Amino acid sequence: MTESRTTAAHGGAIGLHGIKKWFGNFQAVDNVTLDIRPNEFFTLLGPSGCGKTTLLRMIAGFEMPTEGQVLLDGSDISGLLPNQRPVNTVFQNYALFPHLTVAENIGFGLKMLGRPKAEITSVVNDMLKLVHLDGRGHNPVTQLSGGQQQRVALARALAPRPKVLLLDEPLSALDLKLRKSMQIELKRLQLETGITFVFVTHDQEEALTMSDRIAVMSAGTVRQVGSPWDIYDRPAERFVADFIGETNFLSADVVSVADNRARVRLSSGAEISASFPADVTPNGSVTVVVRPEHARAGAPTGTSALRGVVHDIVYLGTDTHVHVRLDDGTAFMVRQQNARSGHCGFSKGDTVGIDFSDDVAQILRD
Amino acid sequence: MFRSRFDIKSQPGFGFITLFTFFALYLPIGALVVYSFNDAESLSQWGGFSGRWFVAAWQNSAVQDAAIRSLIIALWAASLATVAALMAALATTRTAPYRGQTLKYAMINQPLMVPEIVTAVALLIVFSRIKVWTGYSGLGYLVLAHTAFCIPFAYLPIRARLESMDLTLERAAADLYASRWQTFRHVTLPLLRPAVIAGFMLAFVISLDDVVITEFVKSGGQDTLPTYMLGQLRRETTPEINAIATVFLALSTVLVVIFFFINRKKQ
Ligand SMILES: Nc1ncnc2c1ncn2[C@@H]1O[C@H](COP(=O)(O)OP(=O)(O)OP(=O)(O)O)[C@@H](O)[C@H]1O
Ligand SMILES: [Mg+2]
Repeated sequence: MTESRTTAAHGGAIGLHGIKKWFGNFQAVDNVTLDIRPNEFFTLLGPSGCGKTTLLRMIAGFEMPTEGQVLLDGSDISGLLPNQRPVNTVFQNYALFPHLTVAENIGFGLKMLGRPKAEITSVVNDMLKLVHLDGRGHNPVTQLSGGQQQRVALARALAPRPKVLLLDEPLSALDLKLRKSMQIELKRLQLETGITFVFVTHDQEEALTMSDRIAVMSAGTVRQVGSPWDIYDRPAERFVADFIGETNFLSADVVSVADNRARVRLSSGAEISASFPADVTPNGSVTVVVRPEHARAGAPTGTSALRGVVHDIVYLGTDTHVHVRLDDGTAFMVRQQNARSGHCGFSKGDTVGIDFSDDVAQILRD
Repeated sequence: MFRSRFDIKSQPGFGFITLFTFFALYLPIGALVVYSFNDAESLSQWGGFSGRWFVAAWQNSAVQDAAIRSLIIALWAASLATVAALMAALATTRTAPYRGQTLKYAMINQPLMVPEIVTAVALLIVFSRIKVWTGYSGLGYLVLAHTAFCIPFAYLPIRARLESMDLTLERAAADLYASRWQTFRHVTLPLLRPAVIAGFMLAFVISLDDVVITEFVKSGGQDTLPTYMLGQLRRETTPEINAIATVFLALSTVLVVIFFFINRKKQ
């Protein structure tokens, strides 16, 4: 085990099977089952308090599940202490050892594993290069900027070559610009090292840009697992659609279902085609979502899917949001890219028709 | 700068009270230091400047004996008390709160609350029985007694430091393959060092200074410096004890200054 811990050429697979976690009589995690694949950039996304950190701490070994199993490459590690798991963590507050230098911090894991000095020195130097801190090895960590401390924390967790790296909102303390560049950096490190990353964030944009797959969590449960595209374009339920980006909810009636698409009738009477989650067969009245950028507003025509009156126009620089009150009273938003400078073509009070292409609507699970 | 009308410094009498307090605190000490350089035989009559009482004290074999005994006891007692206090502090801060925790604090700090004279008499009774049973009458009893009343002084700074320490550092060490012992050795202890040194020094000074318990527990010929000085007072007193007290003062000042600089360097 010690051998494979540091010579692993690629990342490990994490299996969470039927995990439940109670703190006293409060249930923080409710029956979570997830399979995280080797070499994957996997993100746990959800609002504050939904149990992301708790889940991560159970993978690291700081917290024991009340029920369920944690598997690493198929074998149960639930009973192992944190120092026995080939899994490292990048803590939200970095948790760098203030009494040690940058190099000593990075080499800490290897030193505890009893690696020879020469090996530690060479790995530490590689790590310093990897995170662009060459020559800073002898600095005390307390003298580094936030971004530099962040990179030391990363290097320290990567140095022992764990099978899985756990990152708990590692970017939340950085300013926007640094954050963007660290996002790219993290993605690069994940590809270069081949280590499985389990990343926690409550920032949906961060999750969408970095992840191979995302698990959206709410109140201790996993609501949906999928690629960023799945999560954004094919949300399975209202919570997911609402939490990720902005969206329009429309009520509709199912007319027919064929293969993996359904025909639904909107309140306007128009019929459109919509996709639906694989595990449901839609019937009766349903809710359909359409992303604002997938809709177009224009002069109303006989074939418009929806009709309504513009009641607000919000200019955002790159985009303009056109807020429409539909004939049945529902609010609907259209996002237009500002391809040209100047007026968007509508004014408040205009009657508009709204159209969208056939493959953008998604039926939600109830 | 705007200075509030309610600033304590502008209250009437502030200057006077301050001056009075400083005089009350430092005048006797100043007098002591000055009179330790008094050439006269008398404690309180000035007879010109001289360092002869320091020399006399230094050459007095009874003083030498008592000083060495005091240092030995203080070193042992402070060391043992610091180790015990460190373990007690770890045990009382590294667990989830539980019923009876306050009682445990109270028990550790008991020597601060029970009048010293009570402890002294109690120890006298117990130790005299043990002396009869075992026949041992060495310095061990004094070391043990001093250790006991030094523990709270070593415990308080260590516990304060532990309580303000970031627990994720220990978690990070465990995450990086450190066993519990390695975590303590490489992370917890180095971060606690200033508090451990502070605790040790406090315990050392407290032990060095003790009269009441020592007076009750010591066997014949086991005078420490303070009990020796007390004994001298009962006979004809010489300014020698002024000189010894001044050396004491210098020693504790040096300890405080050293401690200050150790802490400063950490920042
Ligand atoms: N040790 C604990 N004792 C009691 N309750 C806890 C404990 N740890 C977490 N909780 C509770 O469990 C719930 C989930 O906490 P967790 O830290 O996992 O949330 P999170 O999704 O990481 O949130 P955030 O985005 O704010 O970090 C919270 O309601 C929290 O109060
Ligand atoms: Mg959290």
